[in-house]
Amino acid sequence: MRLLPGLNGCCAPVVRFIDNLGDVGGTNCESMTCFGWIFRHGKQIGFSLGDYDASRPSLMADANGDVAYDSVAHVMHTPFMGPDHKPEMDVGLPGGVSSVQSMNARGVMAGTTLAFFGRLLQCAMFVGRRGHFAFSAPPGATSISVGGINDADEVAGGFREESGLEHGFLERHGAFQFFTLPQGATEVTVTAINDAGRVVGSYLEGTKQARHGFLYDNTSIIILGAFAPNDEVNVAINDRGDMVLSATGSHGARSYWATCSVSGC
Amino acid sequence: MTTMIIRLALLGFLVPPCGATGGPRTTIRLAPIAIHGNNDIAITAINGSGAVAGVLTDPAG
Repeated sequence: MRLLPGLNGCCAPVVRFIDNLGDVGGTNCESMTCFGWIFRHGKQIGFSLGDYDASRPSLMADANGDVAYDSVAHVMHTPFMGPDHKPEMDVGLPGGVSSVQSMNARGVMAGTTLAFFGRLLQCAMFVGRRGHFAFSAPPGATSISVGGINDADEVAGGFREESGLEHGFLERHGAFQFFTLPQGATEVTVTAINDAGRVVGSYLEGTKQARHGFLYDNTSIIILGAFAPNDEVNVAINDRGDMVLSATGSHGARSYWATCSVSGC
Repeated sequence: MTTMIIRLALLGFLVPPCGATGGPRTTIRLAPIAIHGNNDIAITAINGSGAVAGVLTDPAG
Protein backbone atom coordinates (compact mmCIF):
# COMPACT_ATOMS: atom_id res chain seq x y z
CA MET A 1 0.00 0.00 0.00
CA ARG A 2 1.18 3.47 -0.77
CA LEU A 3 -0.22 6.57 0.86
CA LEU A 4 -0.13 9.60 -1.36
CA PRO A 5 0.40 13.08 0.03
CA GLY A 6 -2.48 14.87 1.68
CA LEU A 7 -4.59 17.32 -0.25
CA ASN A 8 -4.35 20.88 0.95
CA GLY A 9 -7.64 21.92 2.46
CA CYS A 10 -9.31 19.05 0.74
CA CYS A 11 -12.68 17.75 1.71
CA ALA A 12 -14.50 14.71 0.47
CA PRO A 13 -11.95 13.63 -2.13
CA VAL A 14 -12.98 10.95 -4.61
CA VAL A 15 -10.52 8.98 -6.72
CA ARG A 16 -11.72 8.93 -10.33
CA PHE A 17 -9.01 6.85 -11.98
CA ILE A 18 -5.75 5.00 -11.62
CA ASP A 19 -4.08 4.51 -14.97
CA ASN A 20 -1.70 1.78 -16.06
CA LEU A 21 1.27 3.96 -15.14
CA GLY A 22 -0.02 4.08 -11.59
CA ASP A 23 -0.98 7.75 -11.76
CA VAL A 24 -4.00 8.58 -9.66
CA GLY A 25 -6.53 11.32 -10.34
CA GLY A 26 -9.56 12.56 -8.51
CA THR A 27 -11.79 15.42 -7.55
CA ASN A 28 -13.09 17.14 -4.49
CA CYS A 29 -15.82 19.70 -4.13
CA GLU A 30 -16.39 22.39 -1.56
CA SER A 31 -19.69 24.20 -1.70
CA MET A 32 -20.21 24.82 -5.43
CA THR A 33 -16.57 24.72 -6.43
CA CYS A 34 -14.75 21.59 -7.50
CA PHE A 35 -11.07 20.86 -7.88
CA GLY A 36 -9.19 18.19 -9.75
CA TRP A 37 -5.84 16.68 -8.82
CA ILE A 38 -3.47 14.15 -10.27
CA PHE A 39 -0.54 12.41 -8.62
CA ARG A 40 1.96 11.81 -11.36
CA HIS A 41 5.66 10.96 -11.16
CA GLY A 42 5.62 11.69 -7.45
CA LYS A 43 4.17 15.16 -7.92
CA GLN A 44 0.71 16.51 -7.35
CA ILE A 45 -0.90 18.61 -10.05
CA GLY A 46 -3.95 20.54 -8.90
CA PHE A 47 -6.39 22.57 -10.94
CA SER A 48 -9.78 24.16 -10.59
CA LEU A 49 -12.81 22.67 -12.25
CA GLY A 50 -14.67 25.92 -11.69
CA ASP A 51 -18.15 26.31 -10.33
CA TYR A 52 -20.01 23.09 -10.55
CA ASP A 53 -23.57 22.22 -9.79
CA ALA A 54 -23.40 18.47 -10.24
CA SER A 55 -22.59 15.90 -7.61
CA ARG A 56 -20.28 13.85 -9.76
CA PRO A 57 -17.71 15.82 -11.72
CA SER A 58 -15.88 13.62 -14.17
CA LEU A 59 -12.15 13.28 -14.63
CA MET A 60 -10.37 10.68 -16.71
CA ALA A 61 -7.09 9.95 -18.42
CA ASP A 62 -6.15 8.24 -21.66
CA ALA A 63 -3.11 6.07 -22.31
CA ASN A 64 -1.02 9.08 -23.28
CA GLY A 65 -1.54 10.79 -19.98
CA ASP A 66 -3.94 13.35 -21.41
CA VAL A 67 -6.72 14.23 -19.02
CA ALA A 68 -10.27 15.26 -19.81
CA TYR A 69 -12.80 16.70 -17.44
CA ASP A 70 -15.92 18.77 -17.62
CA SER A 71 -17.08 21.81 -15.77
CA VAL A 72 -20.40 23.52 -15.74
CA ALA A 73 -20.25 25.09 -19.17
CA HIS A 74 -17.49 23.53 -21.18
CA VAL A 75 -16.02 20.29 -22.28
CA MET A 76 -12.29 20.50 -21.99
CA HIS A 77 -9.43 18.30 -23.05
CA THR A 78 -6.13 19.14 -21.58
CA PRO A 79 -2.70 17.67 -22.20
CA PHE A 80 -1.24 18.05 -18.75
CA MET A 81 2.25 17.40 -19.95
CA GLY A 82 2.19 20.83 -21.60
CA PRO A 83 4.22 23.68 -20.17
CA ASP A 84 1.38 25.64 -18.66
CA HIS A 85 -1.26 22.98 -18.01
CA LYS A 86 -3.70 25.27 -19.73
CA PRO A 87 -6.96 23.50 -20.55
CA GLU A 88 -8.09 23.40 -24.12
CA MET A 89 -11.76 23.45 -24.90
CA ASP A 90 -12.87 20.87 -27.37
CA VAL A 91 -15.07 22.00 -30.25
CA GLY A 92 -17.98 20.45 -32.07
CA LEU A 93 -20.26 20.12 -29.07
CA PRO A 94 -23.10 22.44 -28.11
CA GLY A 95 -21.59 24.86 -25.62
CA GLY A 96 -22.98 25.02 -22.14
CA VAL A 97 -25.03 21.86 -22.30
CA SER A 98 -22.48 19.13 -22.94
CA SER A 99 -20.86 16.96 -20.34
CA VAL A 100 -18.00 14.59 -21.08
CA GLN A 101 -18.35 11.61 -18.77
CA SER A 102 -15.83 9.08 -19.97
CA MET A 103 -12.75 8.71 -22.17
CA ASN A 104 -10.93 5.65 -23.43
CA ALA A 105 -7.22 4.98 -23.87
CA ARG A 106 -7.24 6.54 -27.35
CA GLY A 107 -8.75 9.75 -26.08
CA VAL A 108 -12.20 9.12 -27.53
CA MET A 109 -14.73 10.75 -25.27
CA ALA A 110 -18.35 9.95 -24.49
CA GLY A 111 -20.93 11.99 -22.68
CA THR A 112 -24.31 13.62 -22.92
CA THR A 113 -25.60 16.76 -24.55
CA LEU A 114 -28.70 18.43 -25.91
CA ALA A 115 -28.91 18.02 -29.66
CA PHE A 116 -31.38 18.37 -32.50
CA PHE A 117 -32.74 15.18 -34.06
CA GLY A 118 -34.59 16.58 -37.02
CA ARG A 119 -36.53 19.44 -35.48
CA LEU A 120 -36.66 17.88 -32.04
CA LEU A 121 -34.28 19.04 -29.34
CA GLN A 122 -33.57 16.15 -27.03
CA CYS A 123 -31.02 14.67 -24.71
CA ALA A 124 -28.46 12.58 -26.56
CA MET A 125 -25.16 10.89 -26.03
CA PHE A 126 -22.06 11.68 -28.03
CA VAL A 127 -18.91 9.82 -28.96
CA GLY A 128 -15.82 11.35 -30.52
CA ARG A 129 -12.91 13.67 -30.07
CA ARG A 130 -11.31 16.81 -31.37
CA GLY A 131 -14.36 18.27 -33.00
CA HIS A 132 -15.65 15.08 -34.58
CA PHE A 133 -18.59 13.71 -32.67
CA ALA A 134 -21.47 11.34 -33.42
CA PHE A 135 -24.78 11.78 -31.62
CA SER A 136 -27.42 9.19 -30.83
CA ALA A 137 -30.06 8.35 -28.24
CA PRO A 138 -32.00 5.30 -27.09
CA PRO A 139 -35.56 5.52 -28.47
CA GLY A 140 -37.96 7.08 -25.99
CA ALA A 141 -35.28 8.18 -23.57
CA THR A 142 -36.19 11.18 -21.43
CA SER A 143 -32.76 11.34 -19.80
CA ILE A 144 -29.44 9.66 -20.47
CA SER A 145 -26.26 9.15 -18.50
CA VAL A 146 -22.99 7.71 -19.79
CA GLY A 147 -20.82 5.59 -17.53
CA GLY A 148 -17.97 4.43 -19.68
CA ILE A 149 -16.40 3.96 -23.09
CA ASN A 150 -13.95 1.16 -23.83
CA ASP A 151 -11.15 0.95 -26.36
CA ALA A 152 -13.53 -0.46 -29.00
CA ASP A 153 -15.58 2.74 -28.63
CA GLU A 154 -18.44 0.79 -27.05
CA VAL A 155 -20.39 3.07 -24.74
CA ALA A 156 -22.37 1.96 -21.69
CA GLY A 157 -24.84 4.02 -19.74
CA GLY A 158 -28.32 4.31 -18.37
CA PHE A 159 -31.51 5.99 -19.52
CA ARG A 160 -34.98 6.71 -18.24
CA GLU A 161 -38.09 6.06 -20.24
CA GLU A 162 -41.28 8.07 -19.97
CA SER A 163 -42.81 5.62 -17.47
CA GLY A 164 -40.00 6.40 -15.05
CA LEU A 165 -38.37 3.00 -15.34
CA GLU A 166 -34.65 3.03 -16.02
CA HIS A 167 -32.55 0.65 -18.05
CA GLY A 168 -28.97 0.18 -19.08
CA PHE A 169 -27.66 0.39 -22.61
CA LEU A 170 -24.64 -0.70 -24.57
CA GLU A 171 -24.01 1.24 -27.77
CA ARG A 172 -21.78 -0.15 -30.49
CA HIS A 173 -21.19 2.27 -33.34
CA GLY A 174 -24.75 3.53 -33.43
CA ALA A 175 -26.54 0.25 -32.58
CA PHE A 176 -28.11 0.02 -29.15
CA GLN A 177 -28.42 -3.06 -26.97
CA PHE A 178 -30.56 -2.68 -23.84
CA PHE A 179 -30.60 -4.48 -20.54
CA THR A 180 -33.12 -4.26 -17.72
CA LEU A 181 -32.15 -4.47 -14.10
CA PRO A 182 -34.41 -6.51 -11.78
CA GLN A 183 -36.73 -5.32 -9.03
CA GLY A 184 -38.23 -2.40 -10.97
CA ALA A 185 -34.92 -0.61 -10.94
CA THR A 186 -34.62 3.15 -10.78
CA GLU A 187 -31.56 5.37 -10.53
CA VAL A 188 -29.55 3.11 -12.82
CA THR A 189 -25.97 4.31 -12.85
CA VAL A 190 -23.35 2.67 -15.04
CA THR A 191 -19.87 3.27 -13.65
CA ALA A 192 -17.61 1.42 -16.10
CA ILE A 193 -17.29 -0.86 -19.13
CA ASN A 194 -14.19 -2.92 -19.83
CA ASP A 195 -12.69 -3.97 -23.15
CA ALA A 196 -14.56 -7.28 -23.00
CA GLY A 197 -17.82 -5.33 -22.98
CA ARG A 198 -18.68 -6.13 -19.37
CA VAL A 199 -20.70 -3.37 -17.78
CA VAL A 200 -20.84 -2.53 -14.07
CA GLY A 201 -22.85 -0.04 -12.09
CA SER A 202 -25.56 0.31 -9.49
CA TYR A 203 -29.33 0.68 -9.21
CA LEU A 204 -31.98 1.38 -6.63
CA GLU A 205 -34.79 -1.10 -6.12
CA GLY A 206 -38.18 0.21 -7.19
CA THR A 207 -39.35 -0.11 -3.59
CA LYS A 208 -36.36 2.03 -2.55
CA GLN A 209 -35.42 -0.55 0.09
CA ALA A 210 -31.88 -1.17 -1.09
CA ARG A 211 -29.26 -0.18 -3.61
CA HIS A 212 -27.26 -2.86 -5.42
CA GLY A 213 -24.17 -3.11 -7.54
CA PHE A 214 -24.46 -5.10 -10.75
CA LEU A 215 -22.42 -6.75 -13.47
CA TYR A 216 -23.88 -7.17 -16.96
CA ASP A 217 -21.83 -9.63 -19.01
CA ASN A 218 -23.79 -9.25 -22.26
CA THR A 219 -25.93 -12.22 -21.29
CA SER A 220 -27.17 -11.84 -17.77
CA ILE A 221 -27.26 -9.55 -14.77
CA ILE A 222 -25.37 -10.51 -11.63
CA ILE A 223 -26.34 -8.55 -8.51
CA LEU A 224 -23.50 -7.40 -6.29
CA GLY A 225 -24.54 -6.97 -2.65
CA ALA A 226 -27.28 -4.94 -0.99
CA PHE A 227 -26.64 -1.54 0.53
CA ALA A 228 -28.53 1.30 2.14
CA PRO A 229 -30.77 3.09 -0.37
CA ASN A 230 -28.99 6.41 0.14
CA ASP A 231 -25.51 4.99 -0.32
CA GLU A 232 -23.47 5.89 -3.35
CA VAL A 233 -22.36 2.58 -4.82
CA ASN A 234 -19.45 2.54 -7.24
CA VAL A 235 -18.21 -0.54 -9.07
CA ALA A 236 -14.90 -0.45 -10.93
CA ILE A 237 -13.72 -3.14 -13.37
CA ASN A 238 -10.53 -3.58 -15.35
CA ASP A 239 -9.93 -5.38 -18.62
CA ARG A 240 -9.14 -8.66 -16.84
CA GLY A 241 -12.52 -8.54 -15.12
CA ASP A 242 -11.17 -7.71 -11.66
CA MET A 243 -13.78 -5.72 -9.77
CA VAL A 244 -13.89 -3.58 -6.64
CA LEU A 245 -17.04 -2.12 -5.15
CA SER A 246 -17.44 0.74 -2.70
CA ALA A 247 -20.49 1.95 -0.81
CA THR A 248 -20.35 5.40 0.73
CA GLY A 249 -22.99 6.92 2.98
CA SER A 250 -23.67 8.34 6.42
CA HIS A 251 -21.87 5.33 7.93
CA GLY A 252 -18.66 6.22 6.11
CA ALA A 253 -17.27 4.11 3.30
CA ARG A 254 -16.82 0.37 2.81
CA SER A 255 -15.02 -1.37 -0.02
CA TYR A 256 -15.01 -4.94 -1.27
CA TRP A 257 -13.18 -7.19 -3.66
CA ALA A 258 -15.63 -8.98 -5.93
CA THR A 259 -14.52 -12.59 -5.93
CA CYS A 260 -15.86 -15.69 -7.58
CA SER A 261 -17.22 -18.43 -5.39
CA VAL A 262 -17.11 -21.16 -8.01
CA SER A 263 -14.02 -23.13 -8.90
CA GLY A 264 -12.28 -22.16 -12.07
CA CYS A 265 -12.36 -18.44 -11.38
CA MET B 1 -9.96 12.65 11.30
CA THR B 2 -7.92 12.76 8.12
CA THR B 3 -8.44 11.47 4.64
CA MET B 4 -5.65 10.01 2.58
CA ILE B 5 -5.42 8.90 -0.98
CA ILE B 6 -4.24 5.34 -1.17
CA ARG B 7 -2.82 3.21 -3.91
CA LEU B 8 -2.98 -0.46 -3.27
CA ALA B 9 -1.67 -3.43 -5.21
CA LEU B 10 -4.18 -6.15 -5.74
CA LEU B 11 -1.40 -8.69 -6.01
CA GLY B 12 -0.68 -10.48 -2.79
CA PHE B 13 -4.19 -10.71 -1.52
CA LEU B 14 -5.27 -14.12 -0.41
CA VAL B 15 -8.61 -13.98 -2.20
CA PRO B 16 -8.19 -14.09 -5.98
CA PRO B 17 -10.12 -11.44 -7.84
CA CYS B 18 -13.06 -12.56 -9.90
CA GLY B 19 -12.23 -12.81 -13.56
CA ALA B 20 -8.48 -12.75 -13.08
CA THR B 21 -8.15 -16.13 -14.71
CA GLY B 22 -11.41 -16.29 -16.60
CA GLY B 23 -13.86 -19.11 -16.12
CA PRO B 24 -17.46 -19.19 -14.92
CA ARG B 25 -18.70 -16.45 -12.68
CA THR B 26 -22.24 -17.35 -11.83
CA THR B 27 -21.77 -16.38 -8.20
CA ILE B 28 -19.80 -13.44 -6.96
CA ARG B 29 -18.93 -12.82 -3.34
CA LEU B 30 -17.98 -9.46 -1.88
CA ALA B 31 -14.97 -9.67 0.42
CA PRO B 32 -14.57 -6.63 2.71
CA ILE B 33 -11.35 -4.68 2.51
CA ALA B 34 -9.62 -3.37 5.62
CA ILE B 35 -6.23 -1.80 6.03
CA HIS B 36 -4.62 -2.23 9.43
CA GLY B 37 -8.06 -2.81 10.90
CA ASN B 38 -9.56 0.30 9.33
CA ASN B 39 -12.41 -0.42 6.93
CA ASP B 40 -13.52 3.17 6.27
CA ILE B 41 -12.21 3.01 2.71
CA ALA B 42 -13.70 4.13 -0.58
CA ILE B 43 -11.88 2.35 -3.39
CA THR B 44 -13.27 3.65 -6.65
CA ALA B 45 -10.68 2.86 -9.32
CA ILE B 46 -8.73 -0.13 -10.62
CA ASN B 47 -6.18 -0.33 -13.42
CA GLY B 48 -5.20 -3.06 -15.84
CA SER B 49 -2.67 -4.56 -13.46
CA GLY B 50 -5.19 -4.81 -10.65
CA ALA B 51 -3.78 -1.90 -8.67
CA VAL B 52 -6.59 0.01 -6.99
CA ALA B 53 -6.87 3.50 -5.58
CA GLY B 54 -9.23 5.19 -3.20
CA VAL B 55 -9.64 7.26 -0.10
CA LEU B 56 -8.89 6.06 3.41
CA THR B 57 -10.38 7.92 6.35
CA ASP B 58 -8.27 7.62 9.46
CA PRO B 59 -10.30 8.41 12.59
CA ALA B 60 -7.12 8.67 14.63
CA GLY B 61 -5.59 11.16 12.25
